[in-house]
Amino acid sequence: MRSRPAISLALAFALVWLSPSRLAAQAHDEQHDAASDQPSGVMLRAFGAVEWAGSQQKETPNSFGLGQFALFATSNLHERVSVLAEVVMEASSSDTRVVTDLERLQITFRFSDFLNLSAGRYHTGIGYYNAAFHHGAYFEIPIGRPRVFAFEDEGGVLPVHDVGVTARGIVPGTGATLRYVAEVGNGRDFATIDDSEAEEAHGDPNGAKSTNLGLSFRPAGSGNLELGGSYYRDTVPRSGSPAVDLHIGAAYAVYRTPAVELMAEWLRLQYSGGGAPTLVNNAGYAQASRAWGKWRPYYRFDRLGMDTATPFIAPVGSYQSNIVGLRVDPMQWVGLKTQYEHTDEPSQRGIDAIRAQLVFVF
Amino acid sequence: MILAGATALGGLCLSSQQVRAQQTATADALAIIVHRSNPVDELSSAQLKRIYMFDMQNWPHGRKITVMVREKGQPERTEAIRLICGIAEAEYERHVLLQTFRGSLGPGPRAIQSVSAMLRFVFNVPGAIGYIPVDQIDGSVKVLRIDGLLPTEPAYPLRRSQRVGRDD
Repeated sequence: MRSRPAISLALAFALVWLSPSRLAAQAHDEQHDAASDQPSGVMLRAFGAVEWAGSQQKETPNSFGLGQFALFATSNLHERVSVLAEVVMEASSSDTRVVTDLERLQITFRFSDFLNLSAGRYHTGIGYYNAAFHHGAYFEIPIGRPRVFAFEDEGGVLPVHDVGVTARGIVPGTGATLRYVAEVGNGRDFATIDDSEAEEAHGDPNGAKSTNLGLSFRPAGSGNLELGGSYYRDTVPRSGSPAVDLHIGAAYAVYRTPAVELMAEWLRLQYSGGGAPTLVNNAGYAQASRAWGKWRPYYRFDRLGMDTATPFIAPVGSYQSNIVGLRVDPMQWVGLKTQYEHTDEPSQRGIDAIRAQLVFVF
Repeated sequence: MILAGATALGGLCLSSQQVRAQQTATADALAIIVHRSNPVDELSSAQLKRIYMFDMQNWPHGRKITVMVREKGQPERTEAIRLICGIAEAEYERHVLLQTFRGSLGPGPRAIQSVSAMLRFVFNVPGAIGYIPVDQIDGSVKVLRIDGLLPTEPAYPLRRSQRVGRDD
């Protein structure tokens, strides 16, 4: 993970330092002066995770580990203006350092239900999953994101983050059934695929802006069903070779209630340009879970098909996994997930693994 | 115009005597209150749920909606969330945090300690929406009809004795 420790740590500590006094002020407002609509102080939340994993691979001993620690802060600057920041700290996989990243920083102007404009660093609205769960492992039912939505610094294949401006809201005249998101950003620099999460924050290497347009449909009377799709495109520079035109189409169907979660997404990643043949990779997942009180069994099928000639991300390789697990929430804001995984990867087929993750919010 | 000693109920004025008589019979109803200048007189149950779930964040006339709930630990909070949103309080809190985390809203609803504070807040904030027991209504706020009904009517949907199905 690329770290800019000074800036990120300063921001993280600033958030922590600021919060108690502001929260105290907010509490005072609510208890003793509820008669005004002044800005409501800073809301600060932290998401943590402790993990354990073991597999049949002898070269990978079973091990405890720390998951991501995400600090999330948001505040209203004005009745219609809010800001949010998400800073993630995690243990480096290569040594004992703790590395930090400013994952999101956005200011949002809420003009109406039809138009919300944001500027800053955001999670791209490609498909559903990426902008639904961010770095909050607590909100995810299984352990980990679907492979296609892996973060850039974990070998991800998508431009998960971007810096730019976004517009979102309800499409006028549709009630609340049709919503849109439109994004313009720097796009991802694929110079490296394992340590490049914040590259787009430094600037656009070729001036060609990434664009993404998404639509989601929530049929009236269908409860919590959401159908949607998105289309992303960018021109990505490549040293010593012509630039690559990247097109990503996504379609999804999601049904989520407090008790039931059914989710399925399919993505098509297309690479073209420079006289080279067009390459297409497909990826997707389907997952289901049902809660009975505190207990929630779940299943996920996860697949990423990768052509070995794909520019930038071919080393990631194809991947397929079946996951069966059980989540229990013994109390509010604490969840324990355990799952069995059967995975096929380029280097080895049929890997069996067991993972556990304790997630919490405070 | 609100007359002295009268209460604005869904745009209607009732005498204090009438209100008291009806309050006695319907004391378990939860009244949805807004600022007196708010041109909205009525919401459907579905619209009310959308407001409290933050799917709708602006009034039709454009003003930002300020959603108010009672503070944690107060029985009225649990009951109101169950009646309005059809889910348990813990699920509501998880939903609000997820929406906040996604950037769909700011810090979420304003938590209010008491009925008098709720009335005072709504009286002062033109975009506010809150709830109070029907027997606590005074003339400082407007009471909305829900599904065309006032809290004093027998079929009013927001009654604390009412059982509503879970949203699953």
